[in-house]
Amino acid sequence: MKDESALGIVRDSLTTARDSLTEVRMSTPLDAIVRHGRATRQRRRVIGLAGTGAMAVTAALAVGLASSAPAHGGLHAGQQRQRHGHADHQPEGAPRARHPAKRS
Amino acid sequence: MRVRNVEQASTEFAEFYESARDDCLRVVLLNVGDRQLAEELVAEAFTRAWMSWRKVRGLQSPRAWVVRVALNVNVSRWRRHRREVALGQHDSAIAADQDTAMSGELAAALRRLPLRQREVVTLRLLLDLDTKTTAALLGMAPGTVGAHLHKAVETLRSAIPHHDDQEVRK
Repeated sequence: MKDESALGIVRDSLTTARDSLTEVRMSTPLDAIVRHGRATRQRRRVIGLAGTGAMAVTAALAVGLASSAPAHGGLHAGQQRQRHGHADHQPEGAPRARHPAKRS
Repeated sequence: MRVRNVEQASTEFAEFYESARDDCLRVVLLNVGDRQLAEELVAEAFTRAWMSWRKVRGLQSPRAWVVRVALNVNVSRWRRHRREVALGQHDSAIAADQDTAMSGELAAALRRLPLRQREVVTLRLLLDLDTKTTAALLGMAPGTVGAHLHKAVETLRSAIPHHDDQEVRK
């Protein structure tokens, strides 16, 4: 009850304060609002296009770098051979160690 | 067909602007206390309404949306230019006090409320929205709207001279 009464008093006072501003009128014409809206929309579109372009360039660069990088996880063929202890690989994939005595 | 829809939307927005702009300005002016700032905020809010008109036109109270956006733009601006505003606020407070309509204790108390409470008071009491619509617009539970309103009314009530006191004086 007390709350309702306080609410009513505050509502009435605020409404009176708002109504005392009747001479206050918006002077911005509709044209200015629409012009500003169009300009903002255009600016956002340009920023969006620039962002998309930048992303496309980044993606292209990333693809280019990836394709020019060495194969087999970045190891050169020589390093690969070293890692496998100079083992020759048979077509089936089973390693065949070279015998030192058979070397000519 | 599309051209006709665009034309219709433009006409609708023009009608809305004509009917709502002064009310929105007065409500925002009560909240910020500076005529020029209020005009800028409301113009910005209407610009956003124009840009999202397809969404805004379907709302239960487009003018409440405009007022809320204006108040939020004010907070965003204040955050962005915090230092400048800290220096500039001194002048704007004087300007507000010089304005007779704005010199009331109540308007000053309203401006001192936290943003959420101010939004609730503005939508519920100045724009006459019901609790459910206010809650939906502010993205909060109806109970939270009630709690904010209760706190705000308590604060604002203390800024209004009591009727009993006035009667005693008479």
